[in-house]
Amino acid sequence: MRITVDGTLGLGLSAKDIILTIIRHIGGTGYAIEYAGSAIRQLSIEGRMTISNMTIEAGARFGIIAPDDKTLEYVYGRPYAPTGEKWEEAMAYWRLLPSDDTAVFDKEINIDAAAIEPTVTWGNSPQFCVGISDVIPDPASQADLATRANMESALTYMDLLPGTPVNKIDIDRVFIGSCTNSRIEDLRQAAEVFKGRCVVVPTLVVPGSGLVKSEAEREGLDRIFIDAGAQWREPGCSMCVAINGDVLSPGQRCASTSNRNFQGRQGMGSRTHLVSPAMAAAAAVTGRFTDSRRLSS
Amino acid sequence: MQPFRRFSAVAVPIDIPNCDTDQIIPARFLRRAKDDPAYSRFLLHDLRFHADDTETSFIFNQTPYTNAQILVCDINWGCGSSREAAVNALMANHIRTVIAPTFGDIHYSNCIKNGLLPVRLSAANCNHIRIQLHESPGASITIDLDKQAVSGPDRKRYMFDIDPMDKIRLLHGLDDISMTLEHQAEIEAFERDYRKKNRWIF
Repeated sequence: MRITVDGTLGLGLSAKDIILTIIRHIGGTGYAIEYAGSAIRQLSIEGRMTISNMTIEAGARFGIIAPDDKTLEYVYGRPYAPTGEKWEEAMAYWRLLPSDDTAVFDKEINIDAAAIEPTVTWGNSPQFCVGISDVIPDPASQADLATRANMESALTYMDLLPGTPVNKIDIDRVFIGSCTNSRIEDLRQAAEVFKGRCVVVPTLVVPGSGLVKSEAEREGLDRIFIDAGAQWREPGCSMCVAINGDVLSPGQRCASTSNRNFQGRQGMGSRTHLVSPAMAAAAAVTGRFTDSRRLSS
Repeated sequence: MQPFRRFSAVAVPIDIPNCDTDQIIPARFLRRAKDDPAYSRFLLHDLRFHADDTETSFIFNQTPYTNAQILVCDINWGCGSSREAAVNALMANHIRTVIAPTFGDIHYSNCIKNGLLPVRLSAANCNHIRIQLHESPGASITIDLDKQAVSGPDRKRYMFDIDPMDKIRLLHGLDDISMTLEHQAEIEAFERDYRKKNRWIF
């Protein structure tokens, strides 16, 4: 399947909002997905990784994005990247990988990037998400009975009522990390919101690797997180999967940049809302879901 | 891998649509070895046990369903995380078949790879069988893989489809590694050639 996202993403939005919106509308079970289009090409490699990473949440086997100059620049000079003559050979090979112009896909989907809003999940499956200016949907409006029952059980577990504005939902904890959103760009986006503000709920910031951690510290992002009152932690899976002792208490509601919001994922009885790093940071400094575009400095 | 031909056992109905692999085995158990004596407890752990480790009233804890080796489930069984531990947790409880209308794609193939037979029956038939299992606790189901038939508690036959290759693997207990090793000479020849042509990878 090819998903083409064309147009320009609104200011302050990120790859997470694109992929949540895709999952909201598209079932990928039985497919591998190639992402294409101007909005995908405009993304950094970090953003493209967020998209590919969450392909599994759409039900698909894997997600790929054609390598371009940005990809090669990203790989150049990294640990384990080929060097010298071998680099030239590798580049020649990688240049062959993009799909032919004449390639035929089993399914083609087109998405307008300009229509995407900062997105928040409200249920126990990533497809259950809405824009920040929306309200919690009403299962009664669903014709399909199985979907309706699924929505109802999610609302009960999440302790939410249909019609509640998303920006009126208070949260208890914030987690910024995971393989979906803990690369340097994610941390920069979160730091942009934290700068000069203070968290009002306990907040964990967990870099994705030792390399990301040292780069963030070189840029002084760790100081921004710590000054805002967040915890700056060692790399690891942390609260995404409720390990390393980072667990929500039963009933606690968390704005999380991870990829899964299943029941009990962040601890027994935990309530997870998936968001972008900027939206997680905005929730941390306001205590509720807030349109991060209003806070960007 | 244990071959799968014909199998009869007590079946338990699991009435949870979209039961994801985090429900089948919560992530905090993933670092435990699959021969851990406690492994069987990790299956559907948070549905089966309270925070203080006492049992809940979940159906799998109720006699005679505690002897079940077949699960009959609802739509999208095993969606979510691709963790193979979900299959390990089923196997630790001697579950050899899961019947459901639809499966998470990766979980389905993880079952096949471990010799556990995932059976797709229509949602109506799964629902019908689950109702029978509630009405007759401890009822058995028989699965004949060669004939691709499930015989329900009502003795009615329900036919199912399976990929012919998957069927052969299960019937003969062939796992990925043993199948791959049958081609060792060709693999080695390929690797020599591939290394020569793609120096940059190595």
